[in-house]
Amino acid sequence: MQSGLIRRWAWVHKWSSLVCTLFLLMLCITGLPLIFHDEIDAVGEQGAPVGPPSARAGQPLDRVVAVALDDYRKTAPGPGVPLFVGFSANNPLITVTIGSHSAAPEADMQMFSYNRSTGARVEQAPDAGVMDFLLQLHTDLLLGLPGKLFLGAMGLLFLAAIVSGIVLYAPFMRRLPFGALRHDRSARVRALDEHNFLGAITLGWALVIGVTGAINAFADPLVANWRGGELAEMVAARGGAPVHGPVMLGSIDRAMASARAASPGLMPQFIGFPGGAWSSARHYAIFFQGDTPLTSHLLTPALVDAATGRLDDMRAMPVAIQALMLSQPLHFGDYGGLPLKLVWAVFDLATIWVLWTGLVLWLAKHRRGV
Amino acid sequence: MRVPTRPILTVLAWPLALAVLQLAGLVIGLTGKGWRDALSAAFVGASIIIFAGRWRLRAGRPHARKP
Repeated sequence: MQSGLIRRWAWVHKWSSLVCTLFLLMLCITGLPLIFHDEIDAVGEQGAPVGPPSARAGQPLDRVVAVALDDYRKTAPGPGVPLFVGFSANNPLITVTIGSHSAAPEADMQMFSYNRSTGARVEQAPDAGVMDFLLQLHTDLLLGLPGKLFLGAMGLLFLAAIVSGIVLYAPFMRRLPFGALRHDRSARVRALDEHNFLGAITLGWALVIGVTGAINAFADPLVANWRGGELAEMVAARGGAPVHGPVMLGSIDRAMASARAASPGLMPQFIGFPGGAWSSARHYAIFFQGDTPLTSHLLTPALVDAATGRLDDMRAMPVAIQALMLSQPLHFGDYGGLPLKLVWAVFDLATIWVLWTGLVLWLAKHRRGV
Repeated sequence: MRVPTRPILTVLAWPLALAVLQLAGLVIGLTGKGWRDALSAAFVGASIIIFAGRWRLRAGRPHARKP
């Protein structure tokens, strides 16, 4: 490779790395405990009910929602309307979200948890505290969508740093064996060797983390687009039937039964009630998921007429949205069991060391005034 | 530790092979549980074994660090 070309790639590697290094260090550090969020959450859920998953079986949904509406009335001035029912694939916990009206803002919603096996109320677990804080910091720097988009841009710079790094690796390593760690040389050479070796052996993982992180950062607008486009199209395809009022809602169990009959092998993740952001004015939108790590992140919405219980439409998500959903587990590494999580954690620590040695090398060069 | 100048593709062979192995492992882990989980961890974790091996070689050599 010509020296001019190498200098240009070196410039790209230096600046793409320097700009994003501090943020990537923060992301690596906050991401480390998030890998084990299932295990950490389980420690805080020692009293969680045991039994068949609420997505599979339990008390009738109509009864659970009626109890939730009663509980809501005890604390709120109005009667309230159900907005969402959330299921668990692991335990009997079921949640019902109630608001004062179907378009209630998130701040006005109340969530009630029950054991679907027994119908008993389950006190809502307090916020996960530190884990919630770390997740927010990791996903949006506590700044909402602008923070997400900013971190997405940092993810793109990280990808530029990886690509330029591998381009530079080739000419610099032509006279050194793979994995050269020259312990008998200066501290700068040792840091360079560790930077190159760790960067080279974490290449595939780091590319996946960078790409999926950037995709996740831009997820909100894409999901909103799908919600407003595909779902609206599903609703529009059913014609301009009159809108139901809340009193005309039919049985949720009947709606669930007709949707499940058309989706063998899938289980419900949540129901969006008519009039809410995730449904039409006249349908229960039942979102199904699979039971493998792959399919559990792919949602299949079914629109069921809230009055008649007839399944009106059901279709898989578009490929782009499926890719978006799959980018979440691939980014957080919270699948594949504990061995993969431990490997993930080691890669995370290795990335921290690559970032640190990169910074040390730049500082050393900067001090020398080269 | 220097070796004769190698072609670019030879230099990149190990990093690219490990990257492919990691990608395969990450995808296999998504497709199911049980043996797929084990294979996933083994494919992705192979790089750690390689690093540990090289590090051990390095640590086993006499130290003659220059300042």
